[in-house]
Amino acid sequence: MISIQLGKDDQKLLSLSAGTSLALSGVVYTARDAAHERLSSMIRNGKPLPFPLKGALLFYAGPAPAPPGLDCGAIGPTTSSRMDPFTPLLLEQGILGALGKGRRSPAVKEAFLRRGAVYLVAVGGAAALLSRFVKKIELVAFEDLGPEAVYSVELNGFPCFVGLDTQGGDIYTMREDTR
Amino acid sequence: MFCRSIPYKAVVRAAGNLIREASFYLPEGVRKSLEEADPGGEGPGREALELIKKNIEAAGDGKVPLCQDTGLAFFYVRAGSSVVIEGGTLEGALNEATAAMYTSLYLRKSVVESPLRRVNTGSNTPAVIHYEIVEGDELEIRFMAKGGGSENKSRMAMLTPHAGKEDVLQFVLETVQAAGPDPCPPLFLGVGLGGSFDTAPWLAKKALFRRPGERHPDAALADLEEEITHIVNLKSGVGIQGFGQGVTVLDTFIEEAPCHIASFPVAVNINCHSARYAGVVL
Repeated sequence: MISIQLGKDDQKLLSLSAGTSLALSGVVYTARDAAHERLSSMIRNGKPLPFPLKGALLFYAGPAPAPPGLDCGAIGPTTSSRMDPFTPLLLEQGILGALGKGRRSPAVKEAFLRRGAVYLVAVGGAAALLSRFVKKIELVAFEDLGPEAVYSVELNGFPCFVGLDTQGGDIYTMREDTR
Repeated sequence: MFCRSIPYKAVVRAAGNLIREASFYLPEGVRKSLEEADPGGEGPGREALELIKKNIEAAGDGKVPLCQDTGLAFFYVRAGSSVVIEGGTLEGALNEATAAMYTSLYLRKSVVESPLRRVNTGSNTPAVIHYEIVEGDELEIRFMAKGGGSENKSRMAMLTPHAGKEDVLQFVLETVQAAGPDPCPPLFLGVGLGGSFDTAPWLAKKALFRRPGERHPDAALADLEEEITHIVNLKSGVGIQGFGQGVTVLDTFIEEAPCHIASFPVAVNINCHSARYAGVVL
């Protein structure tokens, strides 16, 4: 398992192969379906964005509320392919990459490769455990969306894998490729 | 006529307990299936399974639920025909329990009021409720918390009357392969055979309320359940979390119903590895 501190180890992160397991630390921003629609519309209309997309890692997640006394409620990845229609536009804004689960469309894989961005995947259905690797969660934008709002999430050794690497490797086809 | 009355508040309390139990603690059989799923070797599939097993412990203190997608609230109610709910309706009680528990237990509210308007109802209601009226004076309530990821990848088809077991197998296999990693494998499969366009998917959902290893009483269907699990694991290539390693399906459950001479409806309702359900008889 390789430890990555976002902001400090970004170049190292971009050099890792698909399938590598990570302990990820640093700030990521949650954005799922509804937030993607709003961010895309803001970009197209030239409106100011609620957080800087350049260098940001988007986390496709809608956390459950934090119970009293805990830093974070249940949190985990949602299906990434639903964000595919919006992803090329967000990649053009210079995001470092995204964290979710599941395969991406050929067009989106191509867009990740072209922009030199990384797609990470986390385990679905392990949200109680994953919440323990979150130090802090704060509302950033779109409060009216409830669980679909944008939150900044400070990760601390969050377990995940490199899904799409910057050389075109894909964790979901690795086993087929080596057969 | 004899009637047995059950107080509305007792139904709210019982349904609430089921929501708590299902959201934080996996049924014994589900835990056992995961324990036995170890693919051996190394790789992301095995690492993912280890995290899934540790997650069961992490949720076990009853503070943080098993998954952030705490689901639509599904209730499957078998109501004895001589049962009367005193002080309110059954539907009201189940929705009241859902709204109260999803708030007090810090579960995620994942329901929007309309697929087009998409405004969150803020209470995780309405619950999805299926009723069967049966003989007797008991009220059986079963609850399932089921996430959107696995519902999204479920499918139904209208096969022809000439279709056979092989066609059913092929449809299930294609459904699981098309779903890939998205419904969080390893999976439980509910398969509905027969009925009609509206009932086959319900049969598939109802099948998912069965416990792992609980075979259909009809021997041929019991065999088909085992065959589907075996064939999908052999041929799908999906594996744990879609990483191509280890099992794809933990168990398959079939429910069937009579159907029209022209039809062969088939539905596959996929459930994730975090199969969260609980039941009670009042």
